[in-house]
Amino acid sequence: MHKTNQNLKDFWKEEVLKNNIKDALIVDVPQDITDVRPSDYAQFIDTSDWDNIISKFNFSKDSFENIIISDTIHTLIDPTLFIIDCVNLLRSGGNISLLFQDISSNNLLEGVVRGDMFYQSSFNGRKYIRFFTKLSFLEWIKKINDSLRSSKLEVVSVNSYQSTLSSGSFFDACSFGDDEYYFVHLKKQDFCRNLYSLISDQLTLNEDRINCMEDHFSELIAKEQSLKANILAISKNNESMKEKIVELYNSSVISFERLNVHLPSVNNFDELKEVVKKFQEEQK
Amino acid sequence: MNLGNAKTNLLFCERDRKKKYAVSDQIAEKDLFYKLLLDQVRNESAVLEVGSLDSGLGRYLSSKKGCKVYGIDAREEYIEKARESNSYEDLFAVDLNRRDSAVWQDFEKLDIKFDHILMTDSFCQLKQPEEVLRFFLDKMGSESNILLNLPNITNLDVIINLFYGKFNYNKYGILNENNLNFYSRRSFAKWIQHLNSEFFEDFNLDIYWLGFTRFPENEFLSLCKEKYKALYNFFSTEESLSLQNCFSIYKKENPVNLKRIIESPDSLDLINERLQKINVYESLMDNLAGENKEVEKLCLDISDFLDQLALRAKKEMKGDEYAQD
Repeated sequence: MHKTNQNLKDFWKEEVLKNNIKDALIVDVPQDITDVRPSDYAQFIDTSDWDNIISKFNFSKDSFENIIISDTIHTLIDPTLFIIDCVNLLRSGGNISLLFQDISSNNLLEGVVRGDMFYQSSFNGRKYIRFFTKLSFLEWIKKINDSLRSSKLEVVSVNSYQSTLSSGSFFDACSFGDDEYYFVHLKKQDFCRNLYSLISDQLTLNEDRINCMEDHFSELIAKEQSLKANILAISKNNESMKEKIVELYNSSVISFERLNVHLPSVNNFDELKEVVKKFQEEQK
Repeated sequence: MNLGNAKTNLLFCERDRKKKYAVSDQIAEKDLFYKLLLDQVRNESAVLEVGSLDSGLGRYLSSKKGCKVYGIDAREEYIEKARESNSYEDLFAVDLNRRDSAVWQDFEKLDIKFDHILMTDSFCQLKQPEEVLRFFLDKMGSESNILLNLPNITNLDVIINLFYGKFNYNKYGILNENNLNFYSRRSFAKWIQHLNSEFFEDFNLDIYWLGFTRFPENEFLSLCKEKYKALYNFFSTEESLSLQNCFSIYKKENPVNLKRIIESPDSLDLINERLQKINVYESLMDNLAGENKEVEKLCLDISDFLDQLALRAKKEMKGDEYAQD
C-alpha cells in the first residue's frame, strides 16, 4: 500500500486509529497524534533511557491490551529487551503497533553506501542508533519469539509508507524498493503463521530485487565491454583503411610517372586528403 | 570467522551465547590494527585505555613503552583481570553510555592530562560520542591525541547484503550488536567537521587517517563473486574491501587533513565516474563511427580521383599520338 500524498505522521495516526484501541500504553507518541489516547490508562514515557524503564514504572504483567510504540526502536541501545518487556506487559491477544524505517529503501540506500548514517534521526529529532530492513526486522521478531517461553508475537500486518522526500537516488535506475517506513501490527498469541509467510514472501521479493540490480549492472558491464571492443575494432579498421589507401596512392604515383603525370608522394592520410582537395579545386 | 552480516538478525537475541573474538586466522589483521594505533603512542606517555581491557594493550604499553596506563571498562570482570596484571596506574568500572555513577565522578575528578586516549572497539559503541569526545578533550594536553578504530560501514558485505534487503546484527565484526555508530572514512571526517561547526566552540578537531585493515573474505562474498558477478565487479573497491579504519583525532586550528579526506572520492563517486566513462565511450563510439564513414567516403573519393587522373593521362597520351600521326 503506497501513500505518497500524505505525510508520515498522518499515515501513522491513521494506521493506529484503524485498530480501534480501547486502552493503551503509548510509548513516545508525537504530540500531534495524542488524540488516539483512548483512556486514562495511557502513559507518556520518555524512552531516552529505556534500559530498566519497565522496572522504574513498576507495571505489572499483562497490564495492557495495546502498546503503541512510536518512532522509538531506532533510538534504543537494546530494542530486543524493550520488545520482550512489552510482550510481558501485554495481555494474551494484545496488540503492539510500531513504526520502523527500512535502510535498504532506495531513498536511504545511497546515503548508507556512502556511510552517511549519522544524519539519520527520528521524526522526533532523536538520533538513530539501530537500523533495520523489512526482512531483518521480521527475522528479528522471529528470533525474539525463539526466546519467549509461552506466547509468541504474530505479525498481523505490515503496511508500507513511501517517502515523499525521495529525490533521484542513485539506485532508482536499477532497483525497486521505495518503501521507507513500515507500520507493523503485532499480536501476542500462542502461535504465529503469518510471520513465516511474510518472511518467505520478503525473501522472494528481495531475491527479485537483487537479481534486478545484478541484471542492470550486468547490462552496464556488457555495454562497457562491447563499447571498448567496438572502439578498438573501428579505430583499427579506420587506421587500416587509411594506411591501405595511402599505400595504393603512393604506388599509383610511380605508375603515373610512366604516364608523365607527376604527383607528390604522401606520408599519411591527412597529406593525401590535401592533395585530393587541391586536385578537386583545380578541376572546378 | 564471518565479520560481516549474520545469517539472521542476532540483535541481542542470543544473550547466553559466549562472545567470540576475532582470533586465530584473523590474528594478522588484528595485529596490524593494533600496530597502526600503537605506533602513535610515545614512550613514557600517559595513556587512557578505554574499553577492551582484555586486549593486553595496557600491559604492552606499560612494559614495552614505559607508559603510565589508566583504564576504563564497563565490564567488571575485565577491570578485575586488568587489575591482576599490575600494568595500570588506576582502573575505573565505568559505562560511558551512563555517566552518572559514583565511579564516573571519581574519574571526572582525576587530575591528569593524558597524552593519548586509546579507544579500541569502543568509540563505535557510544550512544553520545560527541559528549564523550568533549569530556575526553578536557583531559588532554595540547599535543595529545585520541586513537581509535571504526568498523567500515561501506564494506562490500554490508552493501551487497543491503541490496538483498538485509542488515543483520552479529555477535562480532562490523555489525557487532553493541555497535551504535557507523562510519566510512569520509563520513567520519564529515561528522567531525559537523562537530567543529555545530558543537565545539573554542577549538577545531582534525583527524589523521592511520590506515585500514582488510576484510577477510567470508562465505557470503565468495558466493557473490559467482552469483552476483556484476554487483561484485562494480562495488568492490579498496574502501569497500576494508574492515575498519584507524584514526588519530587532535585539536588543530586549521583542520587541513579533515578537508582532504572530505574532498576525496568515496566508493559511489568512483562508480559514478565509471558510469560517466561509459557515456564517454558511447560518444567516442559515435565519433569513430562518423569518422569511419568519412574515411570510407574519402577512400572512394581518392580512388575516384586516381581513376580520373589515369583516364585524363591516357586521353592526353592518345592526343599526343594523334598529333604525332
